[in-house]
Amino acid sequence: MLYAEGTSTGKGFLTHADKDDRGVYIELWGNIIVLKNGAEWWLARNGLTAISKATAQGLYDTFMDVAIAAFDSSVNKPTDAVQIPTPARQALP
Amino acid sequence: MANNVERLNGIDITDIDKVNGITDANLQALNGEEFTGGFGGLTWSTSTVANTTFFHGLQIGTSSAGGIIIGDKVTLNEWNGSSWSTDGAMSVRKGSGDAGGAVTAGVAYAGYDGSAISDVTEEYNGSSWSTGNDMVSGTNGPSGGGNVQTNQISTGGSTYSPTVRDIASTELYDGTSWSNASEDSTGQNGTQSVGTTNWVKPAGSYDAAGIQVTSQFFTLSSTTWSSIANVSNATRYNKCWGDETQTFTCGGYEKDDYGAPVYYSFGEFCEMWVDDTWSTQASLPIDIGGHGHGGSNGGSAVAGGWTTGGDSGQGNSITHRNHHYIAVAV
Repeated sequence: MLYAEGTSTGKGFLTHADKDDRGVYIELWGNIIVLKNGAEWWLARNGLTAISKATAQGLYDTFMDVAIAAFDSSVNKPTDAVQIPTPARQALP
Repeated sequence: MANNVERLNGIDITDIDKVNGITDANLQALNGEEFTGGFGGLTWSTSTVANTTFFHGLQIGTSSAGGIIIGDKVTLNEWNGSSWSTDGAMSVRKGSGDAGGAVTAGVAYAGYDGSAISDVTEEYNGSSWSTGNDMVSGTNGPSGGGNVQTNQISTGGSTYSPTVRDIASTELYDGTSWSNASEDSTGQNGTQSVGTTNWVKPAGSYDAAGIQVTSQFFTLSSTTWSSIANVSNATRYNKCWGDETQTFTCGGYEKDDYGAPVYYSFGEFCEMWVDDTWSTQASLPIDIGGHGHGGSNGGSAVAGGWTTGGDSGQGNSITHRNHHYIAVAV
């Protein structure tokens, strides 16, 4: 597992070939990219630097605190069967 | 269906496009004689239930080769015409986003990623997802979709950091990039836009004013919206399919203003838009709402219609479903 600070930069960030041929698998958690099938070359291609899980968790928590503070709970109406979940800190995988 | 009408006023029936403004594909009979290509209505076939129960989803593909991503998940649940399986996972969640195209060339975008509104676009090639270029601005609950990966539309929806409701700006995806259309829509949320090169957007909802009957048509060549006939049943979180000449909408919220403790209920009604007229079609077997975002179904006409998942009931008596119904031409 590898971690980096960043987010999708659009087309070419993660290609079909990355996934189908090279087995790269990423998840985007707020401002953190989690490489579940890690590859240093993939980070380098996207100009990203690997960081420790503890550092990634700290950056993510800070990012989520901003999202939580900015969230307007009034968007959830009692007339909605599905409520938009309030942002909440989670433990990175 | 027999085809008994050969000529009309001396004109070969195959050369006639419309009769009294109705296209021949939608004429069923003429003076009691059946007409070539007649639309005899639809019926609903019960198919293999999905591999999970869920509310909301991003739907791509057709009734014989399709898939749906549950709104707060990343995995595609794929239907191959005989069974369900789980397939490629996206990199980012798109709760209450939109999707379109085929199961071999699909696309998903917008929605809520767990921390904020997402503007991330991801494309599916039949086995895996890759990132596409970001939207101009993502929203939650847009009324978008498209039958092909290279022609998608997104309008409506809200953001909430800061809160902006009923966003009317319209974005277009050409398979590479998103761009703003020259004209805004009416901004209704929670319905779908149906079409291949132009789009029909039935009903939908305003955050404050609730479900509506007003509907619109988007013309790609001018990137403008125009009004069309109102649907009979105001709705949102409905299921749409078809194309820009024959559009279907089924189910969704039938009321959302009851007041506590019963705020809403779901409907089973189904309507078809042809030649700017909405007609009542065979109802869904059950009342359903929230059965999948994305107006595509990757196909057109009756054969493209399918619905899976969603909720039934009203107020606090809501049942998450894994039903799977397919529209079949009579």
